[in-house]
Amino acid sequence: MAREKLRRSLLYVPGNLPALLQNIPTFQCDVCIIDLEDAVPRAEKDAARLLTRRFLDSYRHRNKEIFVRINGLDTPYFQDDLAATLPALPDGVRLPKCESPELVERLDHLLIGFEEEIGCEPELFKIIASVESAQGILNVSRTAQASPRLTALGFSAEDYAASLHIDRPKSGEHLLVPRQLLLMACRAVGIQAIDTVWADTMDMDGFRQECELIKVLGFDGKSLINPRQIDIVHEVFAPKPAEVDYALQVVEAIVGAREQGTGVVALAGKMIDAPVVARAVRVLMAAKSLGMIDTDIDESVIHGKD
Amino acid sequence: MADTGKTSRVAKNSLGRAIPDSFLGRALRPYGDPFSFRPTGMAASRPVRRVNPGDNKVLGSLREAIEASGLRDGMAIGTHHHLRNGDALLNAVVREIAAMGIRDITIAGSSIHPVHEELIPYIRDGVITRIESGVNGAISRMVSSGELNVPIITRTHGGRARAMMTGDIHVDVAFLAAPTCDRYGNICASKGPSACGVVGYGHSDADWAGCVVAVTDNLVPYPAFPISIPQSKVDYVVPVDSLGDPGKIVSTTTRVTTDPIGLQIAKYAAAVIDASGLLKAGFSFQTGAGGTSLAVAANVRDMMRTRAITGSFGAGGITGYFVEMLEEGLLEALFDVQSFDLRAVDSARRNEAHIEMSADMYANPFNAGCVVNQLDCVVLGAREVDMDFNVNVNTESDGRLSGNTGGHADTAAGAKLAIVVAPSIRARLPIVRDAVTTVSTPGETVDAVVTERGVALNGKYRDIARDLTRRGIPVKTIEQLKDEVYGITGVPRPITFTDKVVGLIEYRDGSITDVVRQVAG
Repeated sequence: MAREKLRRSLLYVPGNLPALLQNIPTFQCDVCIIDLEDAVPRAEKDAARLLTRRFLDSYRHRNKEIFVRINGLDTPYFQDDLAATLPALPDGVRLPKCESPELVERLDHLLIGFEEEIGCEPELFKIIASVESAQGILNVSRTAQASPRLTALGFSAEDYAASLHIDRPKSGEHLLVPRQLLLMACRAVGIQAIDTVWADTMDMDGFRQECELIKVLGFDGKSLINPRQIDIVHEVFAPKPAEVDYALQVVEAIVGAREQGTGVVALAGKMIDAPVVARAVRVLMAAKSLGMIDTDIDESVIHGKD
Repeated sequence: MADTGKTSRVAKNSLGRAIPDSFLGRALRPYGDPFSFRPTGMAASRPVRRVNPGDNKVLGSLREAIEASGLRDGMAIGTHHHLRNGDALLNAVVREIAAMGIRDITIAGSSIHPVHEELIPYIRDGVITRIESGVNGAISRMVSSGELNVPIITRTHGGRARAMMTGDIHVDVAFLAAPTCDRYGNICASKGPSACGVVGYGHSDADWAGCVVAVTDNLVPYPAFPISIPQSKVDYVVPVDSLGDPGKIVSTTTRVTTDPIGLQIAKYAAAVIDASGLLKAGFSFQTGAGGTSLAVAANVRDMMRTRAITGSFGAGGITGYFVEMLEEGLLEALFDVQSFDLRAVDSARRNEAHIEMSADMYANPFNAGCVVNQLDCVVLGAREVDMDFNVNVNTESDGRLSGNTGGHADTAAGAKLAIVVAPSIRARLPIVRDAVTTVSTPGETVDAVVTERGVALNGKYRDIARDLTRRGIPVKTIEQLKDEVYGITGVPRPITFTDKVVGLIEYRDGSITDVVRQVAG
C-alpha cells in the first residue's frame, strides 16, 4: 500500500547541478524529483545522467522518495535517461508530456525490461505521469488506469495553458476544470493527484493561497521548484489538532474491532470502514511528519494484517 | 626580527595543541579550561594629567597630535574598527608616523581590515614590527605564507579589553575615530557623516592608553552628545576632512538569507533554542549579522510574537533586526558594542533602551561581571568545526590566518546555550571535520552544531535530542555528521606547516588556545 505514502511536497532538483544534488538528503520534502528534462540544457544531458547516477549511488541512507524526471518519450533522450539512472534504484520515474495512456504503457514495458536486466523485484519502479495539455486532460481517466505502477498523476499548468493558447493568470480560474478532471480520474482508481508548480518563487503569499486552493480541491500535494516552498505546503496540509485526535480514535477503534474479529466498527455513532481508516492514517502520517504525534503509523492498519 | 618561537620548547595545551613556552620573549600560558584561571594583582595604570581652564585640546593635524603625544620608536598605537572597511584613519596615522621617521611600532587596535593593506610597505620597511590585533585580509595571509614578517597576536573582544586592563598590552597612543566630537573631546558616535552608532571597542583605549587622540571629521560646538566617550578621557582633538568612506562603514541594510540551505539551518537552530527551554519571559540573545544568523533571529522573533514572550535584551553587534524587536516590544533593551547597519545607528542615537556597551562591559572576563555572562543564547558562525566541537574562525581552508575571533569565544563561554551554525560543506570543502586547523573557541563552550544535514549536541544539551527528533529535526553525533560530509567531499588533504610560529590565538583569559604556523611551500 505504498499509495498511502505522504506526497505533499515534490521538489524538482536539476540533475546537472552537483551543488544542488548534494543537498537532496537535507531537504525536508516528501519527494525529490531529479530533473533530466526541462531544467537540463541539451548539451548537459549526458553530464546530468552521470551526476544523477553517481549521486544516487552515494545516497545510501535514503530519507525520502526519489523520482527521476526523464525526457519525453518523443525525444531521443529518454532511453539513455532510464539506462543511466535506474541501476541506482530510484523509487520511480516521472514521465513528462503524458498525453495518452499508451505512453504510460510504453514506459511500463520499458521498466519491466530494466527490472529484469537489473535483477530487482518486478514493479519496483513507480511512475508519476504528468498531464500537460488539453489532449492529456481529455485522456486523463484512461491514463489513470494505464499501469499498476502509476502512483500519481501530476498536472503541469504552464504547458496546459500554452496548449490552450492562453496566458497563465495567477488566480488560476482557467485551471479549475483540468484540475478537477485530473483529480477525479485519480480518485476513481485510487491514486494520488499532484498539482502543478508555482513559478514565482518570490511570491510566497500567492504560493500559499494556491496551496490552500488545491488542498480544498482534494490534491495530495504539489510539485515545487524551490526548497523555500516546502514548509509552506506542509503548513497548509497540516492536519488540525482535532483531526489528529479523531484519527487517533479511529485507528484505536479499528484495531480494537479487528481484535474482536470484525472490520467494521462504529465510533460515536458513525461507521468506521476502510476509507475512513485510510483517511485517518493519512492524517496521522502528516501529523507524525510535523512532530504533532510520536506514534509510528503502520499502513497495515487500513486493511488489517494478512 | 624578534624571536618567533622557533627555538622555544613546546607543550600541549588541554585542547591537544602544541604551544611554545614563549613567543616574542613573552612566556605563554597554555589554555586549560574556560573558567578556572584566577587573575591576581592590580589593574594597569597610566599617568595622571591636568587640563586647566582655557587649555586648548584642538590640534591642527595628525602630525601635531603625534608630536604632542610623545609617540616614539618601539611604542604601540591603538585604533578602533568601527569604521570597518571604510576606515581611512589607521592608514593616515601610519603614513604620518613613517614620514616622521618613527619606527618599530606595534599596532594594537581592535581589528585590521582589508582597507589597511596599504600598511604592507610600512611593515616591510620596519615602521610596523608587531600586530596585536585580529587581521582580516591580505596582511595576515601574507604573514602566514612568509611573504611578510610581522608577528600577529589575535585576541577576543573581551580578551583585548582584559589585556588592556591587566597591562598585557599597553597602548601608548590611541587614535580614536570620532564621528562627531567637540573641541573638548566628547566623542559622539551616532552623528556625523561617518556615524557608526557606537564605539564599544574604543572605550578600553580611552580608559587605558597613555594618550588619547580623538580624530573627527565633524567638529561641533560644545557639547557633543549623546556622549560615547567623555572629554575626561580625551587629551587631544584633531579635525580632519574625512575619516573614511561612509558607504563602507555600515551596511545600508542587513538581510535575512534567502538561501534555502541557510534557511534550513536557521529553522533547525530555532528548534534547538525552543527545545532548550530557554525561550521564555526574560530571554536574552545574540546573533551575528550574517544572513543565516539573522534568519535564526527572525524565527526566534516569530516564536516570541506567537507566544507573547518579552525578552530582556539583545546584545553584541546590533542590526536593524534587533532594533525592530526592541521597537516592537519583544526585547526590553539592546546592549550595542558595534552597530552594523543604518537602522542600528539611528536607533543608537535616539532610543535610550539602545545602550552603548564597551568591549569591557561586553566580554572582559576579569572585570566584575560582563554582559555575555547574562546571555541565554548566542548563535555563532564557523569556518570549521571538529569532533570535539572546537571551532575555527581564524584561519582559512588553506591554513592561512585571516580573521578575528571577535566575540566568538567570549559569548560561547558566557551564554547558557551556544549554537554554532554553518553549512556542512562550503565550496566543496567539509566544514565539519576531524580536527580544526586552528582552535579559536574551545568545544567545551559549544553546545550545539547546526548544519543543514542535522544537529549535533554537546554536553548537557544532549538530552534535548528526543524533543528535536519528534519535531522532525535530524539529530546526529558530530562523527555521523562528519562521516556524511566526508562521504561527499572525501577526506581533506592535511595542510603542511613549517615549525615557525607566525601568530598566537589568545583566549579571553590570556591563555593560548592555539598558534598559527607558517604554511609550507
